[in-house]
Amino acid sequence: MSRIKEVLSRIENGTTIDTIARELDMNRSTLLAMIDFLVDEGYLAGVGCSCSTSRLCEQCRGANAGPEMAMYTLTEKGMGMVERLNL
Amino acid sequence: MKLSPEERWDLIDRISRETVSFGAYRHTLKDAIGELTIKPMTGIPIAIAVMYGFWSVFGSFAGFFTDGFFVRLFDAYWLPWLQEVFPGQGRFLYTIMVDAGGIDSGEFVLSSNCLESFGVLTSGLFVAIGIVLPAILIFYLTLALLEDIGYMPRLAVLIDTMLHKIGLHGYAIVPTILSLGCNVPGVAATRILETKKQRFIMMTLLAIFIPCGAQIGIMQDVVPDLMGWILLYLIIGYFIFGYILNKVIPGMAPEFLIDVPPYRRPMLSNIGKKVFGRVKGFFVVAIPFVMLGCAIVGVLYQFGVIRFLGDLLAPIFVGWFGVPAETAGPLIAAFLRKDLAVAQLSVIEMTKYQMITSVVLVSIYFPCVATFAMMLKEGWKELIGALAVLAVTVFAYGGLIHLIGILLGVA
Repeated sequence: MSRIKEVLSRIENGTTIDTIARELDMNRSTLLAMIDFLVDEGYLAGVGCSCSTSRLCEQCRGANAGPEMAMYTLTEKGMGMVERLNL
Repeated sequence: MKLSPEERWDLIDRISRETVSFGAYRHTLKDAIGELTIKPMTGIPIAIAVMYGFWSVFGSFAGFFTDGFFVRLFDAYWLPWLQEVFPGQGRFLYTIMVDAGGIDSGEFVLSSNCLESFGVLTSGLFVAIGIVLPAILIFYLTLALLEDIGYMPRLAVLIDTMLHKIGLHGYAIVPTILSLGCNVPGVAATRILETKKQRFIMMTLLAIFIPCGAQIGIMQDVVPDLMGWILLYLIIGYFIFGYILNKVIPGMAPEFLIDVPPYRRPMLSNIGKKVFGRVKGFFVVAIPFVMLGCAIVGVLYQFGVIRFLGDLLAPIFVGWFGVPAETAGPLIAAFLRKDLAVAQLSVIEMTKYQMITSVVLVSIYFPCVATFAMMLKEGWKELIGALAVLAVTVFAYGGLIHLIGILLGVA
């Protein structure tokens, strides 16, 4: 299985970027580039606060007020790919 | 030659392996701490220790300012002064604004402390400023510190597996913890969850099982020795009903790939900005509701509405929930002001178990008016659904707690 497919199949069970990098013996920067590529190709979608213009959102997360955690989830296209890999 | 994406990445991988050489990475202390707080074996005990520390700081700070300063200020100076200068002692406006007092041998008797006077300017102000403000301030200060250090994302990763059992993911810990300060920003923060199912589960659980800072502050003040039991019942309920909702509600709860940021030194400006924004939000959104709720409860008491509803519903409270008939009034009033209801419960004679049941019931009863308005903003269908779940939960869980008491021989 290619690296990119291995990365996709690991996301199915929920994990962190550091864990995948360690398990697949990949450089973190390469993995981040790969994730950007997967987002561009529509296999992954970035998850973020959808209320960035809300006053309440400022209260709950706050722009520039603490390290932000980036999250990604599999899109339908990504899930379809993982299903095909599992067959 | 056109390569497929997989082939392209394989090529990139091969080229980078052959051309790029990486030096041996030296683990820093920050990396080691980062790993320790994320691995379950070490991360869970650390998380328990952090939460215990959080709770201890919260209790000590809030207790120090409430008991050491505000109780004296309000009971020794503010209440007697208002009782004296406010005109029309014993009349309607006086009982609503200053002191509902009591009747002894046909005579109107003044209350001796702000917690029992139930006036807008006495109990309302004392609860808002004397009890809730120190609690909210230290809560948001500690939370902002944990967020700014970078601990919250690690806690989210750590608790991710557990929260998946109830259809949520690790980051649901953010609205949950925020709600312990005030449910309003907590409900707003449910927008960070991905699917409708997740948002509905989270909003419902917040409205039912997460007591806000006002409630926690007053519980800590009036029933401090029962806090552990009350919180335990609420946590168990959060997971039991979350599990059931996850099974019953159709929809997806997707998995996530998370990029955890490194630990860093907290910045005073960030913490100050966050604490100021949240405390200001609490003042603007919640305090008017505390005062208004206090006034409405007072009016309803004066017109005998709460007594009437209390008498009507007393058989259910006594038979199904196992609490004394006198709790019916405060439990009805809890629809408007949960914090005042806890204060009212504290002066009723009952067993320890009945007190735990009553306070848990007040907590899971109904979201406060401000949260209710916020939930309505998220969608009326979601609100109706959440209220339906809430009604079933109150009866089922209240009855279950009574049953546990009967089986243990304490109810």
